[in-house]
Amino acid sequence: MSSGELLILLTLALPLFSAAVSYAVGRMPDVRETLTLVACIGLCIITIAMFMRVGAGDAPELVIAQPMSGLEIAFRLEPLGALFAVMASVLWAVNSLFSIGYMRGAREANQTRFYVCFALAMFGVMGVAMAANLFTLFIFYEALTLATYPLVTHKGDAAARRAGRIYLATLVGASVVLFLPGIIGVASVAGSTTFTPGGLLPGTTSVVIENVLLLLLVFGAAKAALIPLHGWLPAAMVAPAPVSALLHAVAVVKAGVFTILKISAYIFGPELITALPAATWILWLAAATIVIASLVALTKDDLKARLAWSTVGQLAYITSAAMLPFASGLVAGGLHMVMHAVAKITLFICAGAIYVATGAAKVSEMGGAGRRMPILLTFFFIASLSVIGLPPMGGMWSKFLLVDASFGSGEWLTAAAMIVSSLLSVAYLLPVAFNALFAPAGVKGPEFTRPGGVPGAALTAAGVTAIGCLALFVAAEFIADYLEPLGAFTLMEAAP
Amino acid sequence: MSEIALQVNFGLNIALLLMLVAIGLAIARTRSLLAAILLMGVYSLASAVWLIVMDAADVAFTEAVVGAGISTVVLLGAILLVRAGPVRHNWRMTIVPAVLVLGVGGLLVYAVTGLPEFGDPASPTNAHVGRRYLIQTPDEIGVPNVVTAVLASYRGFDTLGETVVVFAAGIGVALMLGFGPRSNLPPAPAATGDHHVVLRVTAKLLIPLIALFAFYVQFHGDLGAGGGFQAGVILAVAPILHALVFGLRGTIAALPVRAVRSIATMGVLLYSGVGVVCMINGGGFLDYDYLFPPSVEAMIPPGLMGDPDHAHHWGQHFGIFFIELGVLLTVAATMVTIFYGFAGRAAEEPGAST
Amino acid sequence: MILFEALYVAPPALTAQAPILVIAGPLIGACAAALSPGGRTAWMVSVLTAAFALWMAVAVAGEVAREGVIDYALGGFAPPMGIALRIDALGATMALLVASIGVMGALYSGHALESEVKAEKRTLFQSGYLLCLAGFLGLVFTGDAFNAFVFLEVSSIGTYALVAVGEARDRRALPAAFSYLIFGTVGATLYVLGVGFLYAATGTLNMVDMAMRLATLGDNSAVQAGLAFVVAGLGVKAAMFPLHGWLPGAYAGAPSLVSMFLAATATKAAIYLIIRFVFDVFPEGEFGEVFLSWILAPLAAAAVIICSVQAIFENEVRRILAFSSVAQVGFILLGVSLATPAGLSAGMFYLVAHALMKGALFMAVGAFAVSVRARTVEDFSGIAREAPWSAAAFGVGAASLAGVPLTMGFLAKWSLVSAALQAGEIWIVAVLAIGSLLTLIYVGRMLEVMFFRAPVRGAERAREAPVGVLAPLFVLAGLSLWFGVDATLPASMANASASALVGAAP
Repeated sequence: MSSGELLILLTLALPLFSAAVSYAVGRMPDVRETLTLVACIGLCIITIAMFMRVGAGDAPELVIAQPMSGLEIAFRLEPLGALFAVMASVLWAVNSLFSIGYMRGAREANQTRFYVCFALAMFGVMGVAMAANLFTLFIFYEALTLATYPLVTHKGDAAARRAGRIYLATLVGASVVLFLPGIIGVASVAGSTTFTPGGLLPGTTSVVIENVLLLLLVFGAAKAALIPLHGWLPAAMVAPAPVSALLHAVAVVKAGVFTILKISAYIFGPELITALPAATWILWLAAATIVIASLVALTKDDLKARLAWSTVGQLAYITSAAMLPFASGLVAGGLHMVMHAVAKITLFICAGAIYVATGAAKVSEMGGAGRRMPILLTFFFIASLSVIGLPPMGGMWSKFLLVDASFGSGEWLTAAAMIVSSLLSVAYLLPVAFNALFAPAGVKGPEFTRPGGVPGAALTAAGVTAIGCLALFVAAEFIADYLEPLGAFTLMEAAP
Repeated sequence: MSEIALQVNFGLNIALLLMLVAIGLAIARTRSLLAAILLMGVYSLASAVWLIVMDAADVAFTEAVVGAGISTVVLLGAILLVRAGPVRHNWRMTIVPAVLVLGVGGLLVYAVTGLPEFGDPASPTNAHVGRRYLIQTPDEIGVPNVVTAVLASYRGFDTLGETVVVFAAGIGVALMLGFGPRSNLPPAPAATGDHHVVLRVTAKLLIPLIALFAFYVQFHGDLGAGGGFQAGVILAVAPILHALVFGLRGTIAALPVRAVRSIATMGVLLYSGVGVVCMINGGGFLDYDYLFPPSVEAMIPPGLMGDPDHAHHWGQHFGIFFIELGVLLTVAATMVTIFYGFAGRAAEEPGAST
Repeated sequence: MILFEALYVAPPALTAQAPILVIAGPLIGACAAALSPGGRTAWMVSVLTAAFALWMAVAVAGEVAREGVIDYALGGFAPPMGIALRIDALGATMALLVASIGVMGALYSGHALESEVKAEKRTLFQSGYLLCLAGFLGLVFTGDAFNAFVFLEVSSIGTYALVAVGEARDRRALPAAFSYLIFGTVGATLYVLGVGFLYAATGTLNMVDMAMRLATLGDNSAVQAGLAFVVAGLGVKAAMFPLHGWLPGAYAGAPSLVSMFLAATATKAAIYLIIRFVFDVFPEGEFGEVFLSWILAPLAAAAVIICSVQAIFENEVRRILAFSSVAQVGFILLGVSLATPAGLSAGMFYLVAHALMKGALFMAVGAFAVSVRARTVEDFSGIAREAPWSAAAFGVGAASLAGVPLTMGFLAKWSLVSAALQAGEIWIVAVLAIGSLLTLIYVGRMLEVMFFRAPVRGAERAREAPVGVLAPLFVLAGLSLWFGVDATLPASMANASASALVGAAP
């Protein structure tokens, strides 16, 4: 077995192993959580090693099984996937730190199930990141859905179960009715579902079928929360904050947009996307989603709900990027995936920490919160700036590239939507930080309900990601270069 | 056939058909289960007569014995177990069945228009396999009754299957009704001084005769209408009659339930055993030509049975003999098992069934 | 089938007789079981007999892989004079399936019957079980239309009785068995009427001979009506929508072993015979095409949608699974109705997949029934905590039913959708997708209750079933998983079956 295959296997095995161990030692919380952290850090190291190898031009491959001809369970690393894997594993480590603080602080029940499912979800994410074909991606994509379902319904009350039902119904429903037929359609016209640089479909079928397949696949990837399939995301906010933070700001939703990016880059290829009217329709819908979600976010008083709606909008940015008939759109999309993930997880960690420390979940209750939690809210402020897209935060670069790509390809509507939404995000995010940090003298702010205030683990986690937002401002170019093969390839192809 | 005979035949056909229609309507109209069962017996008898008119003696015999005979007895036994009062009529319940019956009937009429004329010697049934059976039976099987040759030899596997069907029915009834308390069977009526002395004397006379007739039917099967199925049903009537007249307890003492079930099983075993023996001797399953091993076959003097050129008729004869015996055992024992099941239940108190 | 080519599992003398031994073995075993002194002996007879039938079925499969088609003339009379068994890849596949399920059921019956069938009935019960097995095996091997009727009856009469035995657990088994009997008898009558007409028109009962003669006959009302009767009759037995009324009650009331065995084999055998008639006996031309695309396909689609919805609104686990069976029969028939090699292959693959998963599901329900009287979905609350192994196997079966990736059910749905896409039948793709979604709903509901709710049964607590019950359950569930990762074996068998029917390999 080559070292590349070993890396892939380890990447998959480590989360599974972590799940098994967490289950086995569930009675001993300290051991369980220590081992979880060890697994997280191990996974980070492995994925970073993988990331380096891919950066060096290597493409490790591994075929696990071939259930039927044309159907393979296989993995193959490429820049986008490697980036996604690193992002998810690093944020998993940070978030695990936060989880420990939050779950203990909030005295949640069924913590073992929580850690097991979390690790299983990461297993799904790693599989999605490394899948070599749509079929494999689909398997892990669904595994991710199923593994996160118990996390969404963690509280076990009627509201949680209702949310869980919406969650499953939307995600699985879209998968079965749209995504799977789309995949089978790809398999029937192209003979396989392998991700092929430059696109698998070009030259295999008629334009009508290509349009239909694009619509099926993009809407089927309901984790990307494109309106009208966005309903599950705000509903899933009943989950504990660490779940919202990692899964519904990072892993699950990013798996959705990652899938769309992969489909755009490797199934259709930027060339074909350019030619398809369906891509334009999706762009319009994404533009609408961006604006509508930002408007709805403005109306939400519950902080997590506001963040969720903001996520819906930001995801549509990436979907737009995947549909932009301009190669740099893919790079911008990949970049935005990272930037938004780091920023949004910071926001969620802060929201969760505030909830654990004071019990406040509504924006209106948080005025003056900065008096007692100045550092935490500073982190919140930094991450808000990144989401909005202001320097010196990483979020600035991706938004810049996105708007640039939209203008470059003449998609004025998309560009306008992005700009409007950025302004709206100023309106729905900054007041939260400002009111908390610079409240008028009379406002006292919420009391600590937990002795000791903000859990140290949560504060550390938020700090790490907030610094990440800053660091990414510098590192953006590196990432963009790393993703360059996506764009370079297509630009090269574009030249006749 | 002469012109007159043809016309008489036609008249008979019409008359019997009208009878069948009338009886069918009467069955559909009557609200009494008892009347319906008796009418069904009459229906079977009329169709047996009709089959005779069509020169299908074997089928007619079976219809008379099974349709008019044992079915009626079993159904009568069954209504003893249930509340046999008049059935309430509900028009809505009849709409779907009526539509279905009309549909099937329409399809049948449509189908009949495509059938060849009855008795047409060139029709596929008469010209293809049927004709070859007629020609080849003396050569290949050597029994005079071609129907028996077809049933027991050419299509002996079907007959095995049908025997198994009967056996399965027996098992089914035994599973349903064959267990449970039997202690409350009524005691046998006192030997003297009862009102049924005429019945008892007649029954005593009839029972051996019935059994004897059954064996006649059994062994006559090679020559004319008859065979294991009919004989088995007739044979079963003997113990059934005994039970009806002398009480179930005595009959069960003489023929225990388990023994009867075992006999039914033995019949199927005998039949399939013949098949296996043929296989062991190098032939196919149920290939009676291989019933005897070649060494025995060599010792058979030519001309012992049938045509001297075809000594293997010996195998066919004995094969048919054994399998018919198997059929007889299974059918008779199964009929008795079914009767035991029903009669054993009837003896229980109403509402005491589990 | 290629995998069987190098398989010589029996001595040549036995292999030559293997086709009939597959049928005669269980027949004789049924007699031996009926004569056994007690339930334990009968059980051993049952296991040995079923294992023997499976051994012979494998031998037959090897021969079929080498020879293509095997003919076995019974009584030494060449068809059409005598009855012949005729086994092609499709028949061999079906026999392997039925015999394997038979073995699993026989093993399972050792312990599973204890809570469901009274001790004194067990010998006869095993006998009836083997009769059914013989009937189904005969049904898939025979090449004779009337002989098929005989075996149809052998199996049916056996199953009526076996279903009715369920009254010990659930009194409603009795009316259910009665309704099954009435439906089944009507179906059998229609079938034999049809065969009668076909015989009148062709003068032969052998299917190959019949097909040859029908091809030269042209339009004939007797033939058309005959074929219609045959298919309608078999449709009842196959629980083809809307002739499925008997099925939910029968499956819900029967002992778990019987539900398992029927769900996995009974409707399948009837579907097999429908396929046999439609593709091998029906004359080429409009009649068959009209039947497939205007009658079979819409009815199958209706079954998929309507019965899945019924399953969603049903509240008893067994009845949910029963309605699901009718819907799944619809899936299979949708594949068949495409009449392409890919469609038939997908249909056969689905048939095998469904047999394995429904077998596992009913077995798991039976495993729960060993210790708990659970009927409605709510009764199963939290059972995963008390009987985790059975629940895990149930979960696997349910996942396969729902078409979760890495199970055989997923590949089955995949091949069906691909086949429909290749044939350009987009509406079938839509039906399949909606049907799958509906399946997910009722499967998800059962799993949610079993795995995520707290037990509500009060004092009664479920225990894990004994190993004798778990082992066959795990085999079936494990196969559903194994074939989901490596489907070479079932896929090659399904492909060989399809090419035996319509020629070209997909």
